[in-house]
Amino acid sequence: MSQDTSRHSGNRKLINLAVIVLCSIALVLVIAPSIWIVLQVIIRALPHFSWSVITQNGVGLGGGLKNEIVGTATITTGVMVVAGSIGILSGIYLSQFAKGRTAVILRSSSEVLAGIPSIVIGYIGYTALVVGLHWGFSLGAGLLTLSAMVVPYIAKTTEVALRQVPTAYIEGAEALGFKPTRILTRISLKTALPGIATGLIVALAISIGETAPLLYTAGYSQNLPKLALTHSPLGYLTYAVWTFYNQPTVAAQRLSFDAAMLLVIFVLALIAISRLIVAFTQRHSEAKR
Amino acid sequence: MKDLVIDREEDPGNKTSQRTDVSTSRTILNVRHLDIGFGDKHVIQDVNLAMPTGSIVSLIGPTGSGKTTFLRSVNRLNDKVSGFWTKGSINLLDQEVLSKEIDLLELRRQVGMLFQRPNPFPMSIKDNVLAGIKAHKMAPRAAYKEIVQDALEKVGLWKAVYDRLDDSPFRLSGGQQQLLCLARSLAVQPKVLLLDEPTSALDPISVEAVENLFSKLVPEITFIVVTHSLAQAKRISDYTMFFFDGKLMESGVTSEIFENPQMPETQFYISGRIG
Amino acid sequence: MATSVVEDALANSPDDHGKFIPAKLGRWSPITVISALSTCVPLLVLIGILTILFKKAYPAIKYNGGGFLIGRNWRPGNFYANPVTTNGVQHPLLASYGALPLIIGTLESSVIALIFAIPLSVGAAVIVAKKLHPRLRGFVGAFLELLAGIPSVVFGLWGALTLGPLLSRDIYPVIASHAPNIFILKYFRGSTGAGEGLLTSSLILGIMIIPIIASTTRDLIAQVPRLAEEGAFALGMTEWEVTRKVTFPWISAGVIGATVLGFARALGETMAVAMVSGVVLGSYPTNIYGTFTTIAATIVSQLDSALTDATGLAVETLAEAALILMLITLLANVGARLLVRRVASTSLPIGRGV
Repeated sequence: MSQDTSRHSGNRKLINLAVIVLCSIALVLVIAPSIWIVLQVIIRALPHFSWSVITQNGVGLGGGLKNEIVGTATITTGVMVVAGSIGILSGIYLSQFAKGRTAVILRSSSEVLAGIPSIVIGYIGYTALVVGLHWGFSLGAGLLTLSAMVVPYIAKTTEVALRQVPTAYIEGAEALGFKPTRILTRISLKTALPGIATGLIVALAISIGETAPLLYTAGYSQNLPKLALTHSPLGYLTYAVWTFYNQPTVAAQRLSFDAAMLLVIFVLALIAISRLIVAFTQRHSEAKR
Repeated sequence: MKDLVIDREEDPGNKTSQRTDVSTSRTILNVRHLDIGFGDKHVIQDVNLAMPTGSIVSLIGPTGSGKTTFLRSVNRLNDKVSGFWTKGSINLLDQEVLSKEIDLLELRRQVGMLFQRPNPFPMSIKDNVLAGIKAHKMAPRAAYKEIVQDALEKVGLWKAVYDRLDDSPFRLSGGQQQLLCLARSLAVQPKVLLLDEPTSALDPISVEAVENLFSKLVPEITFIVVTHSLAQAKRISDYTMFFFDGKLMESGVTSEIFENPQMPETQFYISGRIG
Repeated sequence: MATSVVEDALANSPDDHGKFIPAKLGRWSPITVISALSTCVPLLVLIGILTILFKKAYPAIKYNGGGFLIGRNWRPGNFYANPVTTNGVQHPLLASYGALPLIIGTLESSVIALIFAIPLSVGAAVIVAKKLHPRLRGFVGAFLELLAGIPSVVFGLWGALTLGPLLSRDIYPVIASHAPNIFILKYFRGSTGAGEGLLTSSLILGIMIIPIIASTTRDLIAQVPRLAEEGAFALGMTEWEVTRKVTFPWISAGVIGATVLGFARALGETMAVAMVSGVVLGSYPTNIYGTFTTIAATIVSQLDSALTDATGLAVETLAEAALILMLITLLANVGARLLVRRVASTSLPIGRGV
């Protein structure tokens, strides 16, 4: 057996170094696109940006994005309310009460739903709500379709957050004579809140950025959204990006980038908020390092 | 019985006792003015010692005394811990361990380590034994079978696993896993083995099996064993070194340390008054 | 998109962390009932989706037959002539649908996306989890979150107006002129287009699925027990050897799971592909830069005109396509979970690394 093992050491260290270099390059390549996209969008949108983009409604292939902004805000609020409540309640049930077969079936169906492509959900939304129930292009159709997409994420993150509540906390509360409902609200939910909030923010980001589920359910309109649930087509930011990007007029293309810029800014804000939430709630945490 | 060779440090301010002695066996490990710390924490203070080749040396002392930190510094395993710093010299096998130029890969081949809890690699039993051989390119493929059998026989595991060499090691008992880790270390032909409480997680039968191995493998291999069990130290080691509060309080032949401790701290520790 | 595979493991763990006995709350207390009903919503929606999709697609399935899966012509037929009835299905004259280019386009763009995404994601994850200063880790994590949060239409916008033209003008011609005429590489030769096409779309898809794979891999690496890796270091292995022999096997199940989930995501991606693929029905791209289409892109771009088909066959055919897409993604998702379970049980101690 060769005792002259040290002569291989040099080679092995060289290979090690090469791998480190390659992985570092990989890291740069992974980070670069996000920076590039954000910069690109801002560079194309900012120079021509004026407040009219926010204050004016769309007019033909130009105008502003006000109707889209309000539209996105409206739909998103609705989705957070609907999907948020259903999702959180579902997460509570799956983490606290469900057991055995039923739990597996319910959880799996949620996961399968999450895996369905957004366009398929949009198609169903169109068939069932816009046509089937005769709602026409509407806030209601868009809202419900998007909620269906987003509920599984909220349910999952809520469930995980609740499951991570240390049994010690709960037992401590029981020992003190807390009623079960009180344990749920005061202890479990409160501890799980950061996790739940993060899940909601993820859902929020998805809602703001989705297009396919809304294209054939919310329709489009250049007016501000009607606050009716049926027969109320409305505009939304992602639509502006999709429709205007390849139009022949410069104004349209600019609107497309403006909308993209607004979307990117929203996403950045959401990331910052979720970081703040985590930092704020972990100030007393025992997991803090 | 080989005698311990340790230079006596004339340092009245430093309350340690080292028995000087007679003959000149070769020392395999020579430590001079060693200081170790993590950031602001000064964990090892001015330690000087020498360990003779081919012996079993146990490091004893209460938790936090620095013995494990010292052990892990000998094969530079502490390097990755944040804030780690050392001063002084650790001379092992005539190489300066703490120097930047040393070939760590080769050092760690010559100085093996066994951990508190067995840590087999996520690969088959056979591949575990061969892991070091392959990494250091120590033998051609044709020799693998023989090497595996050799190493497993040495640790007394062959009969138990010869027919399931491709199985996952995690199905073995704790004691068997530790023996596997030992086989893995032995396969690369080390000269020194560092053991960090190697039997603390094992059942008594496995403890005995592992301890018996030590005496079989000496003097080709020098053993440095950190142990919390005074009984174990008495059972297995030729020499004992007592660490307390980061300093090497006392060292010498095991029987002398236990029957005739010179320092009050040693006395207290051995009698259980401090622990 | 799926949440991390690590969270999956936590959710499916058998212990009762965070649970308390329902009996104390009362079987029929308001909270139990409302939350139970809410939990049934996804199941009901799922059943609804499947039912509606099947019902809608049925006439098209009957009419298009097996030819749908192997045919390549997408002909909605003559909307102005009188409708005809065949096999009990009303349809425009000469309507004939073949979805093979769509299916192949979906699969090949997603596979190429994986080829880009996997090495980049794993490489980046290894550096972040093992060598990066802890402070920087959060920083890099933010970029991954950003990448994951950028809307698909914005990716499409960037791809169509920035990346695509750049690649077609400057990069592809260089590759095309040097690619040898052998085997797979011959597809890198030829006309490089104007900014849309298979390679560009696959590249963008790859970028979009990097966050899933990278963040899961990073989380999994961080969970490998230190003792396992220290043993390898103590034996005298280099960092790369330790990573190869200890870290990767430990997390392999989880990484595979994340990869397949990324694959499933790529299969269903709609808007970005629609904007960068060129959406060409009825033909195959001749080389890797050529325009092509996927099922999702087709549905989103054809639904408008499909609505003008009075017989409804066009819309029903899109439903059939949607059904196929659903089946493919379902297979991928289920496959991911099975793979993870299988790999985990044969080599690793239970519960480690998912």
